[in-house]
Amino acid sequence: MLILSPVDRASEAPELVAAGAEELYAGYVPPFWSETFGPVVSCNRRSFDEANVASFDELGALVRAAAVRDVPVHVALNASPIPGGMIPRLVATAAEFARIGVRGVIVSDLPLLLALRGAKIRRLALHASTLFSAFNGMTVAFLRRAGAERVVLARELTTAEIAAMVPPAGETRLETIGFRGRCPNIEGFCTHLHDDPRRAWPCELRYEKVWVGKGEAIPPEILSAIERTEGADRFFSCGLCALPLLERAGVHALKIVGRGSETARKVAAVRAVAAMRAYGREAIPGPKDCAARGKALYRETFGRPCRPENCYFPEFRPGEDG
Amino acid sequence: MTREYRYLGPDGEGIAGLPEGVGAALGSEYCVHLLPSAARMAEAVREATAKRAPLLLLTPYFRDAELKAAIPLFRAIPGGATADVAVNDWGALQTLHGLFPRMRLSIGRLLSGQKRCPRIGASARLTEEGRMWHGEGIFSSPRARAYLEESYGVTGYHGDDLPWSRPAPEDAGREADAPFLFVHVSHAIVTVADACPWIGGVSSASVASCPRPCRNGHALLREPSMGGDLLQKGKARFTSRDPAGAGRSSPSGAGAVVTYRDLP
Repeated sequence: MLILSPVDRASEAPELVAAGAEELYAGYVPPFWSETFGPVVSCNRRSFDEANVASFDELGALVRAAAVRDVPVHVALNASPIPGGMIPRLVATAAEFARIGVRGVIVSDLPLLLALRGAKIRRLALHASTLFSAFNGMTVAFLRRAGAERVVLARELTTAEIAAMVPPAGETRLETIGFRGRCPNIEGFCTHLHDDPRRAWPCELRYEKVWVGKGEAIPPEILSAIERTEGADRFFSCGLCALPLLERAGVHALKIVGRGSETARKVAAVRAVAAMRAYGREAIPGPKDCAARGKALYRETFGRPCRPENCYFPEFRPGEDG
Repeated sequence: MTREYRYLGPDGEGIAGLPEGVGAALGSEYCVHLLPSAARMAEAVREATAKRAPLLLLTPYFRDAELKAAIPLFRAIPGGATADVAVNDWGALQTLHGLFPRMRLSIGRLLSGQKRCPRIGASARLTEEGRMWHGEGIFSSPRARAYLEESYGVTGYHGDDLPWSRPAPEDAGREADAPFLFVHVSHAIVTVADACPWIGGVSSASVASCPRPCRNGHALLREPSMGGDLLQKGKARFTSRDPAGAGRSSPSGAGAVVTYRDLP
């Protein structure tokens, strides 16, 4: 299972690769897109500058820096929907990506995926983004038919559900998201606007709550469950416990979230994932040992114990929330 | 002429009481536990047929086991029935078209691509073009429509009547009996989680069946920066253009309007 790390500039590539990253992915917003839609509507769902490679030249430098280390770079074009007039321009942009050595584009819009399939751009793989909400094997089949060579699964699946999806996926490579950036909502179904320059997202806000229904007040257990995700910092999200089992199941790559974060944070994330993967390869652990090792590694990485609201795979927290 | 469907809850109770010519919508776009049983679906089909009322079954996303378990429900819809099935899962589309090639399938709101966060209307950082982008939907794409019709027999699309949405595309061929655009008023789904606060905040997949406690009420969520209230019921958060539930008639371009007396 490959470790797929976010990257925002060429200078980050050596450190990320040295830490254990085997694939890199980045964001890039072509000028024609930002000129049309302004600063908030990004073609890759990251509206802040730090999360995007600053220029096409910089992207070229990043690809070269990664290539000399034998690491491919993929680029996210995962906004959805893409207006019809933008699709030929993004297909042309993707062809430019391929020309400079980008190896894959991550797409979440069906018309763009179909257009890229039709364009048959050489040496450019099509990755179906997690925004397609692939919760089942038939969605993988749907996306394969539409042109995807790799499918990023929904973040909410359990280890067992993912493992069961690998064999029927055949040659379609499956990728899971498993470190940092766990959203409380299903990303493909979430239509929140992430426009706050301070990055206070609607899914993390603390809301005043008024009950409308039977009884006078919101039942305490519902209130408690709603409030559990409020204020949760997704930086602390983790799925380390599941890594050895995901690798053994045949998952192709594990994606770390975090475009736009500081280099040190990205490197720390790659190191943690690489350490857990190495443990899995050496010890061939069962679920209990994975849970113990994952939690210990979490504490080493973040300096605090893990919490349910930050857990990608709650099946490793028996008796707590699953 | 715009067809009207009234949402009658997950099980579609009350079809007999519908006014003449009005259809019934049932099921759920966001939770598998809010689908009718196969037996209830068969009964709803019989009631609707007797009433000559069209049916619209709303369906959510599925895990593999859930999709397999739902097959009897879909089998309960006879091939000749005037029933539309709105899918909100690409795998469900793939499955249903394969198993039931005559089933009339439409692309649900969760797959439409439209953005419904109330902040969109209030954000000072969005340009007008950027704001309008949020109302775009997959139904606007001739490429997607052609592909989905040819490969999966898709005849319709679901969307919301949003302040920032453009009129429906005029080039979409419409069959008299098959609405092209189903517009849902007046509760738009802003977001869906997999974990349900009504069952303790765990994944809805972690319970084999659910007594549907979310039918007892909803929580209104208020935060000044949001530009409008959110309404949480079960795993979904909604925004409402018409909190009183009066509904709005025939948004422009709609082949059908789906109205709700309460949050779905």
